[in-house]
Amino acid sequence: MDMGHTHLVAAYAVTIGIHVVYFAYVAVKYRAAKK
Amino acid sequence: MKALRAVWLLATLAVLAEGFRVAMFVVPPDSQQGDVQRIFYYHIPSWAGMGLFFAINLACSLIYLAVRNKNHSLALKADSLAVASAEIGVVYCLIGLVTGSLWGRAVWGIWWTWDARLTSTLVLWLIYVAYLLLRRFAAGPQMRTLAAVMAIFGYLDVPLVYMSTRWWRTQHPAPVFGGSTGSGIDPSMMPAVWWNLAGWLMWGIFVASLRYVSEYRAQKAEQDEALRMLDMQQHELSGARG
Repeated sequence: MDMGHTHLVAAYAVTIGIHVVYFAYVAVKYRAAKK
Repeated sequence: MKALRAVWLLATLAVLAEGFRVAMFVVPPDSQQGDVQRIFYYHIPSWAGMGLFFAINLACSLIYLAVRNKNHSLALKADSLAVASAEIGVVYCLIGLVTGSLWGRAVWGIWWTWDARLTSTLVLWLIYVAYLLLRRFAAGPQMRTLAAVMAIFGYLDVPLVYMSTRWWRTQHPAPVFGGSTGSGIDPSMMPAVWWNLAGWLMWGIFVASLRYVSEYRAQKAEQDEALRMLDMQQHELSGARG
């Protein structure tokens, strides 16, 4: 894997990772507000 | 509503999966940059999401300021949506900054440069982080009004970010869409742009809708509690007078 591919994979992983972390936060808030 | 949300989520995941397939395996690599240019298909939807949700935040802040003393129910809804849209806007802005930095390292050889586009975008992110911190840590009846005013002033940076590559000479490339003659990408690459744009905006709407519901319920409970306390106090006062 050359350097370009490493950056491409990293960019994709960062995109998914940040969305997953934020979604987890939103899901916790949603569940708390339902109670 | 629950069924609609489930259908929306399934459709979003399907569009995102197709977007990934088209971006990674279908559209051709860039003739100069090669495969690393495919970051573009995640970079652009992040900015589109940021622009959409900060615009919603602005609209909700204006509505809140206009109706806060006349229509409490609408003000509550507008304020809740303002919070939800600011949060997801900050998420998109952060992703845009990080993916841009990774792309810059591969193509320019540097992670960051203080040019007008990158700097104004970082300032924009910091403004909205400050907006969320204000909402998180400030208390009292004026907090929502202050936050709405801050959101309006914060949004002034959005057109500056958008126009920065047109007004100043920047390390960041000239606009790909809506730029001068000769700008744009090869039509064979456009499907990857459309699929990812649709997928990531659908995802943003889904997450923002969940966040809106939780924020609305929390604020409504807080408001109901405050009204109940006020009612009790008035009751005690009238009892003491009687």
